[in-house]
Amino acid sequence: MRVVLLFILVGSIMVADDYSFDMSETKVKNYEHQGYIKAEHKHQKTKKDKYIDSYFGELLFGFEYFQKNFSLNTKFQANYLKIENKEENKQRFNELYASYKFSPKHKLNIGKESLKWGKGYFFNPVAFLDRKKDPNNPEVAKEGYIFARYTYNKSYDSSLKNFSFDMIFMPTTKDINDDFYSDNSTNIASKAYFLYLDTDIDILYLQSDKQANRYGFDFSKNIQTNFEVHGEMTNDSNSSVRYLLGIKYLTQSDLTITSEYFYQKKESNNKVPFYDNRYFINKLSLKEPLDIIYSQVYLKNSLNIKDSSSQNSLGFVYKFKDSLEFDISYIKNIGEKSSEFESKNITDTIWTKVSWYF
Amino acid sequence: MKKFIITMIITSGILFANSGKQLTTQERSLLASDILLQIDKNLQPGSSESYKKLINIEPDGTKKEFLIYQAKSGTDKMVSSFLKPESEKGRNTLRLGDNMWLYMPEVGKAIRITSMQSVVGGVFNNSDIMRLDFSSEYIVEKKVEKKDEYMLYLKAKNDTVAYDKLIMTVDKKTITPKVIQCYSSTKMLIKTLYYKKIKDFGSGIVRPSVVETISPFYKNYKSIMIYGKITTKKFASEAFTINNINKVNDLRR
Repeated sequence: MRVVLLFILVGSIMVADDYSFDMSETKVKNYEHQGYIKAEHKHQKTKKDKYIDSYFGELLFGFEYFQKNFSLNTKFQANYLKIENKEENKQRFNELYASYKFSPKHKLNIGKESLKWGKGYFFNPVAFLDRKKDPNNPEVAKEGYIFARYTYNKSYDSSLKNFSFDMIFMPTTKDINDDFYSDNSTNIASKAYFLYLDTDIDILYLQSDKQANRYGFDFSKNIQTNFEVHGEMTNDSNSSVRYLLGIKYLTQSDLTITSEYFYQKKESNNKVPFYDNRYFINKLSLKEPLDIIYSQVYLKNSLNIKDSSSQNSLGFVYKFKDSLEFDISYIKNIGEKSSEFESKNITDTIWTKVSWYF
Repeated sequence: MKKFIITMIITSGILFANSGKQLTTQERSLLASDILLQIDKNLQPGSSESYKKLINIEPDGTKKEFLIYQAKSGTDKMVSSFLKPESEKGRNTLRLGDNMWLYMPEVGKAIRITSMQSVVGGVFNNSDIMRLDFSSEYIVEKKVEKKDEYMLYLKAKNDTVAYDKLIMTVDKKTITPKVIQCYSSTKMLIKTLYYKKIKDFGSGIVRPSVVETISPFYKNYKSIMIYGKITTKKFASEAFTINNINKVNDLRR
């Protein structure tokens, strides 16, 4: 009888533990912080059959402070890089801006902010006031520019569910925003957003007194629950048309296919990645392969359509219980002589990343 | 005269019988949809905030926990924010009817996602976590009344809904679900949800505080959703826009 009672008691404690909820975890503070520490190692093979090992460390610390309608937002990034015997350290604020909400509809932000305009995953031709995205590592945090941004935002109960309007004033000098324009200039950008008939639509414009004026639009829509289409297009006063068309498709077996076609009329400087006219990038990500929960395998192919060279990655990601993430991938560049990806000094790479979130 | 009286009696009899039949059918369908509306009202008030915990339990007993804050307005607006674990902190989701977006701090912008995806892994998908009112997504095809429960056979209003059919066992006393079986359009059982442990959350909200789920696609895995707090609260409708998707935490203040 005692044994039965003991079993019932232990059983009820176990059930209670399963369903317990510690409400102290929901306590609201007037500040938030989050970030990660990332350690990376690249083992690379050169064309001359030499091997190079490089090490990379990154700390990202985000902090937000709230006081009624005012908030202070910061994102600090520190990097360490070691390639063979060369070492490099960098620290900077990716973001540091103050925000004041006059009402749910009106907001003003002043400071250094990263906008991340555009709907593309690998390219964003309409990201007028963002630094260029690296398609090899599109999710890496990016440094913003210093500007003032006013936002009007309104919801509706109609086919137009949401409308918002952003107006940005961004000056440049020899010391401020100098990698946007290295001398005195005045830039005014605006973005009108519409959620119309379940489609995200942005119309964007950049007016500069020193550089070409740019205009563009983007869209994103789920045409089925598992099928999204998106696109971006931009032109400027020098007729430098750039556009992209993309899809994201989720199969029943949890395979996500992300494909993007990118075109730019004028080639960029060939020292930067993805400088050529036409690219086609495909990424296949399979969630929880072989029933390994919290894992993912991915295959990515970045094709330069003009010279038929490509960069190919095969990777595996696992998210551990304790906010630890492990990512390992093998990357191979393929192409004919003097093509974009063949002309790189590196032919093969094994890239290991370990991230700890706090 | 006799013929006329007999004809009148038969005609009025047929009319009466027909009108009786119509009334019963109407009454039935009204009752069934009323039950669904009552279930929605009992599970979550129109405008409210809630804290819930999501636990994925692996076959070897290993657990992974997520703490989620959620705000809801009307029948088709909802936002969620992950408060824990640290790797998911700041990941926010917005749902406006059939539209769903995810904000990840490392990406820094909202991207469209699908209801069948799972941002947390495990048996619960996005539509389970960001579930709108049943009555906004489903119609009642059939209702069967038993001694202590109703059986509702629900059909999705359109093909953007995650599950095409639901078979819902409803507790008559509390008018809340006990079990929901979720089927695909090919009549394949995707998962079964078990609603447990009725709790009084205050403000007249009395509902199951635990939802357990299993799926034939995840053998020996189990996911549990535990509601810690549900409070009625009004929000500006602009809180449910992609402009504010990175500011869900502001709603808690």
